[in-house]
Amino acid sequence: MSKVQSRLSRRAFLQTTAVLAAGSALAACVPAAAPSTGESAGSGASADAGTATTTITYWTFWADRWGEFQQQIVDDYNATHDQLQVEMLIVPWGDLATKLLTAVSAGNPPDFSIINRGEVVEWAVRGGVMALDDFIDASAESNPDDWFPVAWGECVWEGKSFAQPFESGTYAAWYNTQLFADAGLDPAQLPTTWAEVDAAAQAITSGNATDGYERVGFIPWGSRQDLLGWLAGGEWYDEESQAVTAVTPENIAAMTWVKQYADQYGGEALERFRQGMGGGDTEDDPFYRNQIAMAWKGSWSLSSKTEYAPDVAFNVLPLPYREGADNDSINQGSACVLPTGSPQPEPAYEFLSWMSINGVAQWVPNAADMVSRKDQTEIYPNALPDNDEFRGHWKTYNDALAYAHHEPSMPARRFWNDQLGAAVDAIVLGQKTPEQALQDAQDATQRELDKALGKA
Amino acid sequence: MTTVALSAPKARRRLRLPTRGEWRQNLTGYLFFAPWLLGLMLFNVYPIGAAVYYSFTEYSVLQAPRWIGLGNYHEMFFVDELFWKAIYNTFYYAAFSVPLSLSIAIFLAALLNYRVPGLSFFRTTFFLPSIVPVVAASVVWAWILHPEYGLINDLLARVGLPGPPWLTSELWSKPAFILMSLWDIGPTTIILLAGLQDIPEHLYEAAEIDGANLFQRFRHVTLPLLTPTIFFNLVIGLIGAFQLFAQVYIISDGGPLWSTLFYVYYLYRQGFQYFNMGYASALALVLFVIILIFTIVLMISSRRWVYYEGAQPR
Repeated sequence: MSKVQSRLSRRAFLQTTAVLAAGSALAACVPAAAPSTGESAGSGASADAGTATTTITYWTFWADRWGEFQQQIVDDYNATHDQLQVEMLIVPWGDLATKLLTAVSAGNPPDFSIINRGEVVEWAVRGGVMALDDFIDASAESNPDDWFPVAWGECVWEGKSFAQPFESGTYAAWYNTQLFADAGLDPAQLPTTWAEVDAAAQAITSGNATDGYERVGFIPWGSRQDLLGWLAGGEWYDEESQAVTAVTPENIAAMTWVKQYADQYGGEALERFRQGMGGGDTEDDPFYRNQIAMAWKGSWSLSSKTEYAPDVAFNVLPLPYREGADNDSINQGSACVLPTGSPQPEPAYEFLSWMSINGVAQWVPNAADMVSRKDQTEIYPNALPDNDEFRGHWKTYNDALAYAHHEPSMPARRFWNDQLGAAVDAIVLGQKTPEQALQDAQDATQRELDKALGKA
Repeated sequence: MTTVALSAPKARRRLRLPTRGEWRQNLTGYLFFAPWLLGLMLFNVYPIGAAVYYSFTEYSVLQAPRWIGLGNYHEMFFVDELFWKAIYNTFYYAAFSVPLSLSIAIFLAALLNYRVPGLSFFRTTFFLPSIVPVVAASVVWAWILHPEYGLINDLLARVGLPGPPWLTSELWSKPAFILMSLWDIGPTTIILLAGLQDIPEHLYEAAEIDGANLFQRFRHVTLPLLTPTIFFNLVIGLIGAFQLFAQVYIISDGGPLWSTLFYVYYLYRQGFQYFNMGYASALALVLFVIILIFTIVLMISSRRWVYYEGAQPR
């Protein structure tokens, strides 16, 4: 043994450790193992001859309070169904897509999962989720026409449905009526067009770019950027030709509106004000602190406001649009999918269908989200005050389901969102013209899209 | 550098099959390190090999990989502007954060080496930030760097300086992350402290008798004898700086204007958000080569400035 004894000096130790650490840098960046082809893993295959009940696994990304609401729904289902039992696993919101990706590629996914609805097409294109058409055709309950087209349409790729919508959320404009009154504006005459927003913003804003702003009327960016194009009458994507259509007169006009605020009030100063204010929908939300008079907010914000700023006087209207355009909004939410390789797709679909119809009806009152089905808009969240004012606000959001867009249904969706965000940044900070910023985002995304579609 | 270890057995290095007795003896040894070897193969060698393979493919993870040769590397070096942006950001960060945190850690370690009352309290205090989970620390830092109400800008305002907009500005976002990296110097400080305590007292005494003042003792006794520890921390620190991820993921998401798009975060985006795992693997491999080059350069240079007390002069 003594012959093989090495002379591990301190120097050699330090050097070797450094090399190993460098090596682990590479190892840490490696994806999961390659897809194991063929047979499905035996994870949920508890259905042997002896027992009549089947147990399926379900992954959800809601945690904490919302995780408990999900668990209630599952418990309810389990209590009322003998043949099928559901085991729910909470995979934190930021992790679910990553974990599902590796689980599917390893051939070991859950029977059923919920993912962001915007991601469905990205998964579908790459074969990560199953087409549901055969199940839907055979189902007595699930009928695509019962859902708002904007919600169902986001789950469709090349004519096939790859998911069923769960909850929805739309955007509307919030106006701080007290700040309007303080500035000598009539709180009963709230803006419906961009020009009216501009005038109100000018009247309300106090402070300047050098010393900072105490109060700001409106900042057009920082909410969902894609709303701007739609509200100017533009489209970001053409499904027919699978082309990104960022550079259009309407979208350029929308980005010029962004530039107008950056020029007038100082892009960096507004940015400082906006980010300086802390996260949206917390106690430090500038709207809740009477520091911004107009903001575009999602339906879920109503319950946050009730919790954090019940005394702030406000009103909710459809989003203001550019002269010549029309009402618009976005509908975003989550969707129920069967991951490819789902060990028990039939029973899993049974639960999927139930979740997207009955489960969501139990979810909405607790979680203060919106429904996705036309016959469920009467459901009202428990967390909101049950009065005419809030029921009116809720209706404003629900009405938007009929005219809202969904995110571009394309496999490079996430890439596109990042590009559009960078384009707006560049305009706000004065680095690119609206045309140039949109052109760059369009070119980069189209390349990525063509690649994903196998065209490049 | 490895010649020291190799030169000794060189004379006897002739190929000869082991005898049965030797074989049995060796087998015990092999069995003892077999679990480690298995782990190394399974969790290091195989993934690294797989990453090398995937880097030559288009691979969405969900679909089978498609061989595209050097396509990913071509894209990276000649097409993808964000790759260069990420390289620039990461080098910028590493160039400032590594020397800065190392010098401050040396300073702190030197202070902590004095036998003053409450020493263990101070040592604990400086180490404490390192046991705060990075997620929690990042959230707190987002507040410390808050342009209006943040601790740092508040202090600056008290002395009459305008506070920079930190994370909202393209110019200040990287300095913000460099500042943040100082939060985590506890482990470095402790390792340096251990190195300091290894320095024999008699050298200081000798220097003192020769009339060296505090600074001279530090410069000519402490620093040279601390170089092996400094070298170790430099290499580890550099590797860590190149792999900055969690803070970016939590605080800045790469913005504004890609100014905090650091390399590993970009790699994560490509692999897990854009479904470009082949490209991400290529990015990983390039990062590996970059780190390897830096490490080799440091090692070669270490011959000139690192002093190993026990090593024989060559």
